[in-house]
Amino acid sequence: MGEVIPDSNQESQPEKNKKTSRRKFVRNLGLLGAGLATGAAALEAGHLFQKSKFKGKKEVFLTQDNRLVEVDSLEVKAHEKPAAEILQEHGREGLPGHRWIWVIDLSKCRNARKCVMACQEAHHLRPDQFHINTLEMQENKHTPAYHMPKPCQHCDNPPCVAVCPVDATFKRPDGPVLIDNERCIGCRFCIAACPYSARMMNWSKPKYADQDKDQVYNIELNIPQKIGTITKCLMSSDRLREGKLPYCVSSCPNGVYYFGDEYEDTVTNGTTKETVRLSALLSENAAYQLMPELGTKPRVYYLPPEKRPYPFEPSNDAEPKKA
Amino acid sequence: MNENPSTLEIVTKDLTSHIRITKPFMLWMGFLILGLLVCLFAYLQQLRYGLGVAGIRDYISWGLYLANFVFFVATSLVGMLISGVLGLIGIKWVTPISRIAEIIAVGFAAIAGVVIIMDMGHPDRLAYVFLYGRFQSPIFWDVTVVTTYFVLSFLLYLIPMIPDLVIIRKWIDKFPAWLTKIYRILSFNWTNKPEQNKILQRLVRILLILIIPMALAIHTVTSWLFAMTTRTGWDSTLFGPYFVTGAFVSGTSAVIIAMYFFRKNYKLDPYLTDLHFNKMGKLLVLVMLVYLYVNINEFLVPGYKLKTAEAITLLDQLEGSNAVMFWLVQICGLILPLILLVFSKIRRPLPLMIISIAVLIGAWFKRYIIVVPAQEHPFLPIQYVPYNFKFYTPTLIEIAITMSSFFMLLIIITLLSKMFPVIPVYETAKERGLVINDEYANDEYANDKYANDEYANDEYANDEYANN
Amino acid sequence: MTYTYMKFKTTCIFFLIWMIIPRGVCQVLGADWPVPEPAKSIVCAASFSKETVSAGDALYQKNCKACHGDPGKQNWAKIVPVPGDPASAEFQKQTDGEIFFRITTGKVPMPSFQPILPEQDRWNIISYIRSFNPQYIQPTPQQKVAGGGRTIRLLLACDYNQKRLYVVCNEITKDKTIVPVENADIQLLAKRYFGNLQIGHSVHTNKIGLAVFDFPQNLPGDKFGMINLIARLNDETGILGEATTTLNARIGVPTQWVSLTAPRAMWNTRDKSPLWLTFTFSLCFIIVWGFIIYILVSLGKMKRINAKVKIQIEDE
Repeated sequence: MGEVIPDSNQESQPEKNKKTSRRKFVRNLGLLGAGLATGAAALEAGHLFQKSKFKGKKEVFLTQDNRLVEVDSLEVKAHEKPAAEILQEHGREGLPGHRWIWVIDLSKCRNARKCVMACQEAHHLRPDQFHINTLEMQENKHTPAYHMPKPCQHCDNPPCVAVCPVDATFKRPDGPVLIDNERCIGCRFCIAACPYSARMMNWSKPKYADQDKDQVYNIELNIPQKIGTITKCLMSSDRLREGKLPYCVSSCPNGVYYFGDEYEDTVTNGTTKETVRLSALLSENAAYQLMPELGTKPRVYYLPPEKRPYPFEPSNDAEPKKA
Repeated sequence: MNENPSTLEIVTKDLTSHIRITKPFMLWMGFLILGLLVCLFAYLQQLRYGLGVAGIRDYISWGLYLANFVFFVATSLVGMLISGVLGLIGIKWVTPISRIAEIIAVGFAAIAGVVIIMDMGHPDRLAYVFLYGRFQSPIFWDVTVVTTYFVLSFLLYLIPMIPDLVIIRKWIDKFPAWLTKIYRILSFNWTNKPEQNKILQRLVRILLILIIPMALAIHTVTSWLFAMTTRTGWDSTLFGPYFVTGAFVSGTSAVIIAMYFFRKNYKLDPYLTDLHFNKMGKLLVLVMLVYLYVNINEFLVPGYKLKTAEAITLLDQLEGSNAVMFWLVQICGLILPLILLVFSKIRRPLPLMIISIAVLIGAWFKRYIIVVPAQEHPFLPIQYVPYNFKFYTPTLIEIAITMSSFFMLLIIITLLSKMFPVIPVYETAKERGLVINDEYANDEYANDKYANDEYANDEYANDEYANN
Repeated sequence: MTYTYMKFKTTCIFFLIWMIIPRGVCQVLGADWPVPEPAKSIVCAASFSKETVSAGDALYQKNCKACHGDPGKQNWAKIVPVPGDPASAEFQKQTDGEIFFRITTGKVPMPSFQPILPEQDRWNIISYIRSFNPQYIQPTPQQKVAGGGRTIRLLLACDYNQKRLYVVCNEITKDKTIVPVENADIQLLAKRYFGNLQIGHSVHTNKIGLAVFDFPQNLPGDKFGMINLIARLNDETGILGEATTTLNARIGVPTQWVSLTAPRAMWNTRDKSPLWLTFTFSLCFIIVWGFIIYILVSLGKMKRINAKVKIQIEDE
């Protein structure tokens, strides 16, 4: 910024200039000191306020065995964290040592839709919100029609996560793609980016909003659902933490779902509880993935709908109806 | 009104005659504010009951709001085309138009920022975009560049206007005191000194250069909101140029419309002559030709191959449920105006303005065509949902909220044009050889009635020199 | 071919069809789902009572109703094979042992309830089902069939040289002598997160009560290759009773867990954004805003030029 030609008068008074600059420096130093002092005082005041705020207030905590207890904040030691914070941390860290994988056997699906209902019940969804949906598929009129359960594919290259502006949706180290209700700004870019239509929005007041409003937000269950935020399949992360199979998987009456850990090379059927080698299941049944050409690297494998022991029955509800 | 303004005083008076409160102005502003209030009521409904009051649903989740956002970003681009590109090349006839283009740029860019907030499910979490912004998200880029572009456009509106403010303050003393005060603050003590002119020219030059990549960035990034997804209809490498060239069309037509109304209402005929309209008409033809070319490329390439998924989206537009809107937009908003504007008789102010309105409306619906139909055909079927999930119909509330953006835009444009000259006084005078270079350096302080309090209060005066 | 013969043939066919139709459900059940002879004769040790029926009712509503519907109402789920109504005569023809076996083992699409419901719960369900059959008389629980008092012990050992696993099955008799059990069906399982993975096929013990298994092929273990093994006596009939033993052996492929979110990527969090992206974005941002700040500073400077002039004039 030295391009401005200095005034000639000024140049002839170097003494004055020097003085000015010294005075300026001292003044600036003083200002800096005052600023620092004010900042420190503000921080201290904030700290004191924080302390007083917690005095006598009840806080909800999560114990080691997953129980919620209410404790007076005065009794809380420094290392204990509120339940909401622990749930958030759990939710973002996941279960190290695992890499969840999902196998869906299309030959067994008869569109019982028990998975859909169990999921909607578990996550407090409206009947038109699907974390998982069974779709009637037919590539063209000469190929057979079949029912295809379609959860979120929990991609390893998730396009929805890539576009999120605020880290609200995220890929977890153990596989699932989750969504943080407390962070989501409702821009719906992830809905636009997902090629599997796996994401839903709470467009209006969620179904159980009143009932759930006092609940501590569990990021692994996405309850309470919040208006104006995205909701999506979570691979039932809360169940995985308990060593249980996802809600949809264990509610299927027809043995469609296998779920397990890629690192154990093992998947367990949700209906029969039969546990099998993942690699064998995939190779013996010519498993495939949904639209792998998009490069999303899904975590869900499909076994083709071959040798079905029953005829395809189209559902009356599949096509949208005019109200 | 002087047909051939020959003195600085006449020019200044002509160009500032509209800076006064008139009855039509009050009526117009009253209408705009009333309309805005009605629309704000609709927005309150949305805040209260959620985005569900709009017609958007899980599958078609971006509707009017986003189409409108794209439209606003697009139109604001024109500031860069007229001031930046044409100004830097040194084209003389843009002098009286450049500020109008900047008004359009500032207004549209400002409202684009507001429009995108209307589309958020959680507008209260707007700050999260800055707090937790991910470098990987095109939305974060978009927020950054639109904000930056708005600041740049505003500076490019303000800085070339500094000499004007001094001139009109010297010649005109009928303004209300508050406006004079604003003029004084914004004139930055400019007195036409060579050093000051040097700084001013450098700043304008920096801005003109900076605004070009920034303007390209805003609309390219906006196009990436779509092109970065895998959806058919959006998944195109041409989307950046497609949006930018489209933006030139909508921006140019918006400037023409603004020119027409400013000329008519503010009696600027000697300054915004038929020649200017003729030139702008030619510019519109040029940008529409480029846009037509990009359109052909955008539709012919996938249309020739008809890959499964893309064919569904494309044929739906060409001959399916969206065909009527698509062809109306393409013919009435692009091809027909292009043919008509080739004739010089059509490039006169009134017909040109009418055609520009058609082009602008077409440009708005074009954004709708880009945003909505692509979402109607996801890769997997839409099943087990109510009918309104599959086909998007905007609701009344949604339309009202969208309208509010236009009311806000017109309020901004009206206020700017009522408070400041819409045609650069200094540059117009200079082009006509009317300004004597050192006129202000000597006279200014002797004549200026504000001179005394101005310097008495000046912080620099107190701090650095007064004490010595 | 005579007319009489043809008529006889037609009659026969009609007769056969008449025979088959009403029994359809049972035919399917019986033909496709054989129950081992010893299992058929198993009965419940406790006698059925009002309490067992009501407990069974609750369990039935939760576990069975989805497919089998309400007993007696024939409102089972429309799937193939037909689940059948538990109150129907065909269903009630089965012995308690047959029903128990089928509930216990399951057969796709019916799940195995062994891991879901404890033994007494399964019996409670049977007692509930039987409450729809007025003719039913519970077979008196005889002194427990074989299994009851026997003590079976399994030993599991690993031979790293031969790459084999040995399971020894012994019975400890009442007089504390150890007798090898021959022909016992032994399963070898690896403990997994959601269930136990069977390794190879089950093996019958030889004369000295020994069952030999090969090491599993390429089965991932933990980071040292350790796998928690379970040997289990697979005794569907219940004659021998239950026995398991476990061993933590280093027979798997060592597997190092890699976090899926380790690499910098477009889809990762802000902290793990690709370096070039963070750098480019920040650079562009700094350059443009640097210019904007420069412009604002220059405006201030422009303003000051006149301030200086003015003051100096006054000074003079």
